[in-house]
Amino acid sequence: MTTSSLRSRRIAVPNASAAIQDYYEAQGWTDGLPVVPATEELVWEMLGTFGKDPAQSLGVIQPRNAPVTLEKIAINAVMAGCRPEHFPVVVAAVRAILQPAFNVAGCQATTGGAAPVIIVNGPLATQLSINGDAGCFGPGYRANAAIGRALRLVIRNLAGLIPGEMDKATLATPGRYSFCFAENEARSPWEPRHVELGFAASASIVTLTAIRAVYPVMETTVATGREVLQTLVEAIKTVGFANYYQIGTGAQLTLVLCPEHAAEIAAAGLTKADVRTYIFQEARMPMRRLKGIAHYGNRNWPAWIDENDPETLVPVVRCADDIVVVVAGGDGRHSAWLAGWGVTRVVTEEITAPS
Amino acid sequence: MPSVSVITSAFTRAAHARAASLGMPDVRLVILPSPLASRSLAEVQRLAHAYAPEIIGLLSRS
Repeated sequence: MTTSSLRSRRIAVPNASAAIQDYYEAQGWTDGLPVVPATEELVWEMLGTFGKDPAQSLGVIQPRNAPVTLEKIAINAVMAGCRPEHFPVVVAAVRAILQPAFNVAGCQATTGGAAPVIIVNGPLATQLSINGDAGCFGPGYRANAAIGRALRLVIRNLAGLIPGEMDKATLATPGRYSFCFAENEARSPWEPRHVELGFAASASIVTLTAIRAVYPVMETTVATGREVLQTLVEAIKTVGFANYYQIGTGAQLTLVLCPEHAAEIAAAGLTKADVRTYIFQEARMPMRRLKGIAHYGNRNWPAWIDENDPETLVPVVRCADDIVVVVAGGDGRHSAWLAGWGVTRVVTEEITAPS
Repeated sequence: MPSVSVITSAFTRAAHARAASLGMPDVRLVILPSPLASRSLAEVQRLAHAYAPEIIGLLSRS
């Protein structure tokens, strides 16, 4: 194995676990938890088939204005605890956040403290055991934990987003440690997201969004899918939810339906597109509940929103297609909506072998 | 073109870090007291008048 083409600094640290971890922490390179020491051997293993050109840059990441090379991504993936087979997913996620529409410098520096969320679709999700079933937002699965953590370490270490410095989050969210899950395609009554977007069923993709919070909606009482949707609508119409003020900047919403709710909604004859339309049409707040409070001082509304009419109904997004609908989770009747950070667009990338 | 970045004090470290990463460590900064968002329009106008000379001074500095 050659090690000649890794360009990162080699650092000699006493070969003792505590000394190594203390060194990483002192450099400010961790999320607070211990990391896997990124030795040359492990970095090469992580690069795998991407190792032909570790210096290849996927772009420049802001706000630190730093090149993002495969080598640097691999180092952070090793530190995060990824297996080499996770690496193509991490690379795709990094490509996604480098899309200008994702606005990584904004959503990861903002006082709003948004967490990047990776949603995986396609056969790779199953092959890599990326959990999309019971407890998929929580701990317990190495792929979910390590892939999401790797992305956050890339953001911390390459984008330079250190809390209190360029990362100005007031509170942030625990989702910033790691937030990665798969769509539960096996239990979805609808086509999976990647097929919906026009990818082949055999393709695998990552969808990236940046969210400020997970709002759980328990609906265990009503009997029909339309009533389930209406409960979701009432939950979304929340005072203080910044999306209502930011439809002009393209604020988006991700709706995660549990399999039972999804089955009930599908049984009512509704498709994913119908769900988007329903939420767009119904989850509207009157101007009188928005004006003069919350994010009003920083509002960004298109011209068709009439501020002078207290009964103007403001939608939660500017069009139905700005709502992402996926099915995830296990048994039980708990769905969730993820509050998108207001100046980030949802982006996707196909998970591919090296180009 | 002469330029000045106007920030509030909460963002001082962030501004210096960003300026350094863009290769502009000597960027001209005017630092307003924080927070700004909760101030009344009249207070903001007073601040604007108070800081205008500093902004103009930095813009006209060679």
